[in-house]
Order: sequence, then C-alpha cells, then structure tokens
Amino acid sequence: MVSIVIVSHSEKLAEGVKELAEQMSQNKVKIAAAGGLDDESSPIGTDAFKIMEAIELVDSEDGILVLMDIGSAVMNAELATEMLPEEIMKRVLLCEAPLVEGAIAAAAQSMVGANLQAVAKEARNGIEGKASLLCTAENEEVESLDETIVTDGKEINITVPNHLGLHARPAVRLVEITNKFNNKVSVSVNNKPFVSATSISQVGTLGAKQGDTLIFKVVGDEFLQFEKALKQFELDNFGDSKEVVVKKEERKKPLKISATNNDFIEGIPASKGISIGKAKVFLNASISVDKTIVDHSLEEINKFKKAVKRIVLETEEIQHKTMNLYGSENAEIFGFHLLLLNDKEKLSEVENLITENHFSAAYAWFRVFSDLEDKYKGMSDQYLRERASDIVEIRNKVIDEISGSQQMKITLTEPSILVVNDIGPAQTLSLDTDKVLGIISKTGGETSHATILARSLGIPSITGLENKIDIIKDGDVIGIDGSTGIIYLEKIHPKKIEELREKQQIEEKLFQESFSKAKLPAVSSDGVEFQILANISSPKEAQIAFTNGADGIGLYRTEFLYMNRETPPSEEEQYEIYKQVCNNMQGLPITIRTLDVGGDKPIPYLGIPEETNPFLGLRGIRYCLKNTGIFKAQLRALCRISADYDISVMFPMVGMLEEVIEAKALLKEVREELDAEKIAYAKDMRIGIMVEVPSVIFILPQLAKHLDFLSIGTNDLTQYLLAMDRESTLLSKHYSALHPAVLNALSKIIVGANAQGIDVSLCGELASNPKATALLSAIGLRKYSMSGPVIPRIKDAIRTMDVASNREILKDIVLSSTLNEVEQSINA
Amino acid sequence: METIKLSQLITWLEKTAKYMQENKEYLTELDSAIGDADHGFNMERGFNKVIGKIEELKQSEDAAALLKGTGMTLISSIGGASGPLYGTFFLQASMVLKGNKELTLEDLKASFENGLKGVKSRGRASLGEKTMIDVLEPVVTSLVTSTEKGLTINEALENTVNVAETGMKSTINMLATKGRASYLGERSVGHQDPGATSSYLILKALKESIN
Repeated sequence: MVSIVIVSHSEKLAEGVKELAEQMSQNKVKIAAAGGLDDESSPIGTDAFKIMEAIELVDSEDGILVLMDIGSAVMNAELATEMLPEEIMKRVLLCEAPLVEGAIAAAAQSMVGANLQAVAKEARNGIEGKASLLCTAENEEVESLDETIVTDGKEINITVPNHLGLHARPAVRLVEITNKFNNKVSVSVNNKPFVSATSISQVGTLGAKQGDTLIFKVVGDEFLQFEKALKQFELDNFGDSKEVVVKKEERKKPLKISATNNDFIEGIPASKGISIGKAKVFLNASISVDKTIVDHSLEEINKFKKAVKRIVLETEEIQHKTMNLYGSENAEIFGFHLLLLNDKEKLSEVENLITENHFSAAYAWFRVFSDLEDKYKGMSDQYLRERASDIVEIRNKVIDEISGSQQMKITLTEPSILVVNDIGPAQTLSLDTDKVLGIISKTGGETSHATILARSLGIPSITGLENKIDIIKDGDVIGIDGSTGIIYLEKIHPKKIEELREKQQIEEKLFQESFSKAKLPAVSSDGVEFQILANISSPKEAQIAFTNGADGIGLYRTEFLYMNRETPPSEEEQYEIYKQVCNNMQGLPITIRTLDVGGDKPIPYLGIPEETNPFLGLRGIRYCLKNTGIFKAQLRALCRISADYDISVMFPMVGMLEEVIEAKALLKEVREELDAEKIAYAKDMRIGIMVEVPSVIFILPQLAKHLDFLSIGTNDLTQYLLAMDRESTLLSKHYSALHPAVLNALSKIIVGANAQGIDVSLCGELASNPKATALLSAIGLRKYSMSGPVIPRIKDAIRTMDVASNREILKDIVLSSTLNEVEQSINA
Repeated sequence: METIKLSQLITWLEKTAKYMQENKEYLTELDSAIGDADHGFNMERGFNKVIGKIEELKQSEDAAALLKGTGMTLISSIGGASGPLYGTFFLQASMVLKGNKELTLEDLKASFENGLKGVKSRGRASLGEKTMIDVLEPVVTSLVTSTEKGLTINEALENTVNVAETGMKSTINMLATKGRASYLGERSVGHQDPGATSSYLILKALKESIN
C-alpha cells in the first residue's frame, strides 16, 4: 500500500490531518505527520530532517506520497527527498494536492491498493467535490448581486449591541423589521459582500459579533421609518437580555476523552435530570435524496410549492402552541423556521434548479438546504453552528412532505430514552412527554433549539455524543444524568445504574422537601400572614411558579397569546390555554389580566395607528374598549374558565371610572350571551384593575365601589408618576420605585384600598426586592406577586422579619425627601 | 596570492549571528508588513544554532565541511522558507570547495555561483521577484566581474556589499510574486523584502570579517 506523509508548519495541523486520513483508511494505510519545529518558544515551521525521518518511518515499496502545506513546507520536502538514500528517493512523490482534501482522498485510494500515480491523482481530485458544491453558490451570488442587492442608496449604520451577536433570534427580528417597510435593503458587516436584508439565510450567516458595525443600504420611500425602527432595535439590545451572559463560558466543558467499551459514555450535559429506562434507538441514516432528473419541471415546482406551504402552516401551528404553552422565547425558534421557509432567495434557488437543471423537487430542495446546512456548520460562532440542526429539520420536513414519507416522525410505544443522531426542535415538541424519559443525541449543543426546548419540557438530555452512542442497542437499559452528561449501560455497569437510581430518589426527595417548604405560607415572626403570588406569561411558567411554592397567580399576562401571529387567538384557543394554566396551579387562585397592548408591545394585526406618544396612547383597556370584538372574545373565554376555577379578571391601564364602567358593561353583555347559550360561568368572578396610571390615586374611593381588588404595577406607575421613560439610560439615576413620590403614592393606594375594604397587591418589579417587602409590610401590604423562581427567597425573607418592628423602623420613611434618604433608611 | 582562511569564515559566521541578533526586531518588522513576521526570529535562531556548533565547525578539515555543517544546521533550525533556502545556499556553496583549506576570490566566486544556483532552483525565483535573489544574483555577478578584473578580495567584497545594498533597496518597489508576500499582491509594493535584507547582512558580515 502507498504510504502518506503529511507536512505542515503546524504540528497540530499535521497530526489532525493524519488523524482524519487514518480514520478514512481505517488505520490500514501507513501515515506519518511531519509538522512544526522542535522549538517550544516558536513551534511553527518546517524541518527537512523531520520530514526525512517521517518518510523513512513509513517507507513502503509501493511508494510514499508526500502532501504539504505552503512555502517552506514545499522546499523542505524537496530538500528532505534529496537527502534520502537513492532507492527510497526514487519512490517518493511530492504532490501539490490540497492538504486536507488530498490526504483524505489519498488514504481512501491507497486503502484499495491503488499505485502511487493513481493515489496522487485521486489526491489532486480531492478538491473537486467541494469545488462543485461551492461553484453553484458563487454563481448564484453573482446573479443576485445584479438583481436585488442594493449597493448604493442611503446608509444606516448600527452597532451590534448584544452579547451573543446577530444570532438566530435577532436575525429573525431584523428580517421582520426590514419586511415591515417598503424599501429595498441590503446589509453588510466587516467588508463582506452586501446581502439582502430580507433573506434570513443570508442575514443569519453574516456572523456579526458584538461591537461589529452593520451597514445597511436602503432604497425606498420608508427610509426614515426603517431607520427609526432599526435604531430602536439597537437600543433594545437586539431583543436580548442586557445582562452579560457568562453562564455559557462558566459551564464546565465536557471532557473530550472518548469512552471505551469498558467505560461510561460522556457527552455535553444539555438538560438536567436523571432517567433510567429502555433505549429506543432511532439512528436511521441521515436523510439523503439522490439526484433525479425529471421531464416535467412545472409539476415539480407545484409539488415543491405545495409542500412548503403545508410545512409553513404546520410550523405556524407549532409556533402558536409553543407560544401559548412555553412562552415567547421558545416560540421564536419557530419564527426562525418560518423565515427560512419564506426566504425568497432560497425558494428561487430551488425553483431555478428545478426549471434549469430539471432536478426533482425533492432533490433541488435537498441540495439547496444541504448547502445552507454546510454553511451554518462552517460558521466560526458556536451559536450559529448549532442552527444547522434547524436547517436540517426544515429540509427534512419538506422532503417528507414532497415524498409522502414519514422519516421525521418519532413514535414511542412505551416509556423510553430516545437515542438519535440529531433532533430538531419541532421533533422534540412532537414527542409524547409521557413516554420520553430522556433524549441522547450524536450532534447538538447547549444552545441547540432542541436542547432549549428539552429544558423547557423538563426532559433530561445529553448531546454531542458522536460515535460513542453506537454501542447502545435498541432495548438496552441505560441510565442518563443530564446534569453531568454521563450515560451508563446496565449490562456493563449494573451497579452504576443502581447508584444512579439512588441518586434519582435522593434528588426527588430533596425536591419534595424544598417543595413542601416552599409551599408553606409566608408568615412573619410576629405571626402576620402574607400571600406570595407569581407573575406568569404561559402554562410553563405557571408550572415553575407552582413548584416554587406560589400561593397563586397575581398577574397572568395574556398579551403573549396575541403576539407573533396574523390573527387574534380564538375564544376556544384561549380557553384551552387558560385551562392549562389553572391545571398547572392545581386550583390555586389566578388573576388574569386582559390584553395589554400598545406602548412597547406592538402587534401589527391589531391595527393600532402610529402614535407620536404610544405610552400615552391607545394602550391596554383603552384599546379593548374600542375593539370590543377582540375584547369580548377574551372575556367569554375568561367567564367560561371561571365556571371551574378560581379566576379574577384584571383590566390594565385604567385611569378613570368611566373605563371600569364601560368594561363591566361589556362583561355583563358577555354574561348575558352565555346565559342565553346556557354556558356556565362564575357569577362572583372578582374584578380588579392594575394601578399604573397616577390618576387612580385620586379617585380611589369612587373606583373601589365598583371593584374587588387593585394590583399595583410599580414599573409603569413610577414611569407615569415621575414622567420618566423607564428605558432612558440618561434618567435612570432618578427612576426608582423607591422615590419618595412613588412611596407616598404606594402608601396612599395601600392605605386607601385597606380603608375601602378591597384587596390590594403589588405585581411590579419592586415586589422581588426583600427590602421593599419589609418596607411595604410596614405600610400594610400583604400580597405580592413576582416571578416564580424569586418566591422561595421572598418567603424566607418574610419568615425572618417582624412586621411590628418594621413599622417602628420605617415609620418615618414616607417623610423622606429624596431617593437617597429612602435608600439609606431601608439599607440601615 | 591572498586568500580567505577558514578562521575568517568562522569570524564571518559569528559576525552574521551577531547581525541577526541585532537586527532581529528590524527583520521581523519588515516581515510583519508583507509576510508572517517570523523572519527575524528564524534567522536569529538559525545562526544561534550555528554558533552553538562553532567549536565543532572550527574542527572542519576543509571549507566544504565548514559550509556544509553550517547549511545543515540552518536547515534544521530556521523553520521558515529561509531554512531550506539559506541551507541550500551553504550546501551548494560547499560542494565546490572540497579540500580547500583557504579560498581565493575565484573559489569564493565559484562557490557563491553554485550556492545561488541552488537557491534559485529551490525557490524557483528569479531576479525582480522581491526575494533574496535580488541581492544574491547581483553579488555573484559582481564577484564574476571582480575576478575578471583581477581585483583584490577586499575590493571585490567592497563591491559586493555595494551591489547587495542596491539590490536590497530595489526590492522596495517590487511586486512580490513568490512566498507569503505574494498573497498581498499590489499591497506588497513599498516594503523592503526581509529575505533580501538578511542576505545583505550576511554579505556585510563577510566583508567586515575579511577586512
């Protein structure tokens, strides 16, 4: 067999290429690496003697093929050859083939016993596969440059503000923003060629990092509007949280040591939890479509368009379901899928391949999306690389749809741990949660969309296992620990499985203990009982709130049900979701806030006109009273759910009594309609309002006569009371719910509500501050609503405090003159 | 007839090593403009290795052994493209000096001629490509002329340093078509070639060692 010598300036590169080639030839071909210098301080370079030794090491009568990188590698390889004894020199061939491609191709060819010349020829051709793949893409780009890419026009520059850069979610938003306006827009970063800003495949692969400047070229009538929207998007930190995400780096890197048969298997811990159960192996070969040439292109185009349309509908449905059940962050995953499915550039690429190359619909689609998959896989940013599995999922779903097969469907007949090559987010969601005990996969990462969903669904999961997974056979009993990334096979490690089972029981016990503690009421040391409620947006968050010991839901924000879609949710859809929330809270009281739209929460189909001052415009109840169709559908769903569960309804943005009276009249209409239809509802459903408009403070007694409760939203109340934009960084020094003006307002509301005998609670951010809890307890507040995970901490804080002494300590605080004074008193 | 002694060749190597050390930053700076910023490093390392073997080299029985030993050391220690290039220069230069305990100008000319031939075939470069050839080739031409004119060794070496300097500076306005610098295309114009510069330093060291 022909031997191979790899010469590189870098020892690591030479060893790496050797490793790749050895894997290709299954270690049958002798391969030697001659990389780098034996100089620790400066190891990059080539050494003729090292090359000579490598050639001698693998010397073979069939010949030695030497592949090298550039510059001195070539010269030193020549020099090395000249220094060899003549009989060896005769059988050395220095080959100009590309190093990586050449080595792999040569190894494969040598393995089958080809002679030196044939192996060299194959090495030289190693580049062809890649060339043919990439040439098409290049041509495409040139074409699109001519037609659609704007290279002149007005320029807008924005700096990527968020920590993760222009990853999938902001890329989706960016394309959405661009699509909203009637402009032709292209975008570029770091001197890359301009691409269409309406193409998610192109925007998503720009790879813009934090601090990079995105340059937009805009031609069109709506330049100013677009510019404004872009600047807002930049200010909003591209929709990401402003906290610097360090979690990713802090996380322990999985060991790269591959497991042998005697050892456990280790992968990337993706979603925590322990599971023990039968493995269900779905390691079907990755979906591939053979090149097929067809005569009737038109028919294929129809097939392709129909399939895409079907998958778009299906994905929209999944998106709504996800939004409702698991919240907007999870739902945005499918926003990315939808943009890909509607990506004009990609769709026309597929169409061209069908009409011009006469490819079948399935092959054309497969080819375009496989190229895109490769593009994502080649991204330097890990987050973007992990989007490849989204591309694969979409690609395969459409192919399934075109061919009528069901390769993407995963059906479990009994509770099992799923063993897969790769899993997409939609596939993850489609799993029967009663049957799937865990998911372990070959490819994927911490930020894969499937991983994110597995965490939301609470399915233990380990990923990035690669070939290590192959040892697991269908039906094997395995134990997985999603927090460590370790997998044991029962047949190999029965003891370890036992240990894992014990660990599982201990964890379950610990959880039960902390859960029962969390569930205990929050009673201060002097015996005052508090109610600690949760703010939620989805059934998933309700579940989290419940496990954290929430005494109920103080604020269920329903506007998320209305976002990211084309039409409002139907009464039925709402009813189902509300029911899920109620079930997840197991009968505890729930306060549902009616649609709070406007201001910073635009929903295009609701038709709210462009306002110069949206925060003072058609917001919350004001919108609902003008759009009674949408409002009444929600009220009907709320009334119906109130028949079986403890529900309160709450109107947002109320500033005057007229609004309450009008809303209640609509509620009465709804009830009468339900009566007529003989549909049950609770006649005593409590009715309340959010207190966020300062005018409420001055008409408390009048309002109280018509209401059962008040819930204070400190964020907006502070903003409106101080007339300070809460987003403004210039004003943030004085924007605080602890400002004496706000504290006095809070005091008036709490004291007033107590005097009027109606319930009062607080659901703004202030509620999650333990110091504020103490302060407000002194004023007389007994009900607080906050994000679920904060609840145990606040309950603990309450258990250690003494309301009577709080009252003593803090009695003068409302008399403070400045924010500084307040802060000093509560920190004292 | 005046000749170059083996001990003078040793001085040449030592002086060269000193120059490489002194000009390490300068060469690296030149290389960072158009190459991979390792030339200064590499040359210093190469000639330091030669100095490490200087006692051994002093024992050489003839000029051939001395220059061959130098070439082999440079090959295994420089690391970049200059390794095989300078290595080849000294190896090829050594070939014509079998049995020489001292060198006449004629010998020096012949050995440099052979060395240049080796470098040109190794690097496949010719005059005007912004490489060390732009120094070495004029140097060899000048040695040929000096030999024909019957100049003294000192006069001849004086001339080589002059043409070496002109050659080195001529690379500033050249477009690189060989080596790393060629990746820069037009952007390589305006920078002096680091390889030409190190060649000049070697010639300068030679002149000063014989004087």
